[in-house]
Amino acid sequence: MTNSAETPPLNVKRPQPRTIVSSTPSITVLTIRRLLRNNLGRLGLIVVAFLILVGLFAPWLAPYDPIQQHEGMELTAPSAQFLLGTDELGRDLLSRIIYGARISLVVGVAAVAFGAVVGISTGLLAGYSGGWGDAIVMRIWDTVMAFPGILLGIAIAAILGPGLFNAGIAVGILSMPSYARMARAGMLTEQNRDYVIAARAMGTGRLRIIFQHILPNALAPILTQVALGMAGAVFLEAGMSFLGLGAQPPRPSWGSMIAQSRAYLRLAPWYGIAPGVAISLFLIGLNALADGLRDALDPTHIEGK
Amino acid sequence: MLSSILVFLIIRLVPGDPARTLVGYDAPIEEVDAVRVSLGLDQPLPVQYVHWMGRAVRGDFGKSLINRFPVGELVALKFPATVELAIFALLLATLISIPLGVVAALKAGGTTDYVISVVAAFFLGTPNFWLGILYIMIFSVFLRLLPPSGRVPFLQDPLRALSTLIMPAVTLAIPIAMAQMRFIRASLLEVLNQDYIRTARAKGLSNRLVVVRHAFRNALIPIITVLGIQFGHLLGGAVIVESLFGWPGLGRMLVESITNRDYAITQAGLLYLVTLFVFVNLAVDLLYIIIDPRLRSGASRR
Repeated sequence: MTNSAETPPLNVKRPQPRTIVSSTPSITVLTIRRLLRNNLGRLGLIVVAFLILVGLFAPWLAPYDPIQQHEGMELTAPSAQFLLGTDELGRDLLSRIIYGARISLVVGVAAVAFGAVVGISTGLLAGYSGGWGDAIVMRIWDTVMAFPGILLGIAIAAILGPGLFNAGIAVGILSMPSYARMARAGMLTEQNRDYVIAARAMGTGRLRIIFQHILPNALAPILTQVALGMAGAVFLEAGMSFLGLGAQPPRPSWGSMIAQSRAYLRLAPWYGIAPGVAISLFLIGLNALADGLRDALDPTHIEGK
Repeated sequence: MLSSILVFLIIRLVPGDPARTLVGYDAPIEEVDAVRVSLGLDQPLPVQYVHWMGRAVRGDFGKSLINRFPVGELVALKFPATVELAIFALLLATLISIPLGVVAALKAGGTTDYVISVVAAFFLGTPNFWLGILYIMIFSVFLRLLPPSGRVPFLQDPLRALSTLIMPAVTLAIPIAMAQMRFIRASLLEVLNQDYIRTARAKGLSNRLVVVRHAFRNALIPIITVLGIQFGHLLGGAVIVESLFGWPGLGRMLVESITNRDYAITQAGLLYLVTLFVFVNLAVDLLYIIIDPRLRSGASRR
């Protein structure tokens, strides 16, 4: 895809191998090393790790209970007592944003896990069996993939009813096709490698070959997709919560906070700004991490932009 | 066809009984049953589907379960607003993305390219509803230049129409423009490395002519293939943007109908948007053939 693949510029500085080690490090170690050497990837990793920590330690970090209402303190401006101000019910916005990180993370991780497990298994099986089964499964995923995400999310919210859990299911289903595609592509390239043939010759069962031998080898490129998928999941959850189809009150989801802030743009502009900054930070971090991972995993991708 | 069955099934499988919701939860069971029969909800699902589809192709989607307003008329009422918004946003997105993409590709690796890609990353990583709120804050609350919501039809008063249209359209257009810009950049870069560009240059053609006449035309092909997907994003984005700006279109109608459990409207809204999406993708495929003559004889090659 890159222009430099065919005619690499001469003055590109390739990273020098640090030391010559007797045993080759595993692909995972190599990838992490390359990721850390890449500015974009490092930035993404730091941002994402920071938000994961915030989500994990929310109860210790948040100055207040996110649903505790401070009477007489409605819509106050940021102050020493409430660092980001309060909302229309007198709840501390900073605490709500910190707990909001939790919701985004939980939905993101759950949806990605759900999407990845179903997507990867169907993709691997489709690739392994080939023929009709392959065609049917992949056509179905193509259809889902082409479908505008939020519309499918809305349709699912219409069937299952609005709510965080159902939004997570919608997000998970939407993320399945990309995993299926990557897994299938991985399967097709790995399928005829010697180790697979060897395993087959030894009489190893089909499922064991697929999941124990091929999957670990096809997993590397899927990692990029996981980071991207998280971004998509966080984005979609926020969008659905914004529409009122995701997290229901009083849960402090970033998307629904933004939706509620609409009524108070004049009185309390910080109310709408703060959760938006949080979402953007998370999304940009995840995208940067995905870009960094892609660069780190792609041996043909030459350093630099 | 397949998607219509899907849309129908999806909505009918919703837990919760529309008849009961309509009559009220404390109403006697006979009354609920009467309403169910009058709505045709007592028939088996395939029968309901055939009835619904038969009426749908004639533009009759039944009546709103809540206020008995004919859904077909409601959709016809909301449709122009969505189309207006979509067309305007698409136009804006094109106007933004082409110059940016071309500049980024020609200056690839330079500072301009870098700045453009950072800006793109920012807009792609920022939810459009939040950007929309920022615009409202800036232009409606502080500068008081534009109305924060509502719509004036274009034919009625073009100037005021534009003032209501501009914020939702920009909100909708920018993320799409950024995604498109990336495609244009990548596609143009690929083309610029081809031999025929070198030939054109060697012939002594001016740089401008090479880019406009030779490179851009060829770079357009992959861009058009993603146009259909972009349109999907546009429809999805419209749902959010319409809700945010109180734009009286299909998207907002859809979201409201789900909150009200008004199935007839949800089905019609989804079917309409999905059909629109399918048709646009079909049109894109045809356009693709027109632009790339190689595909006309090449039959089933994609």
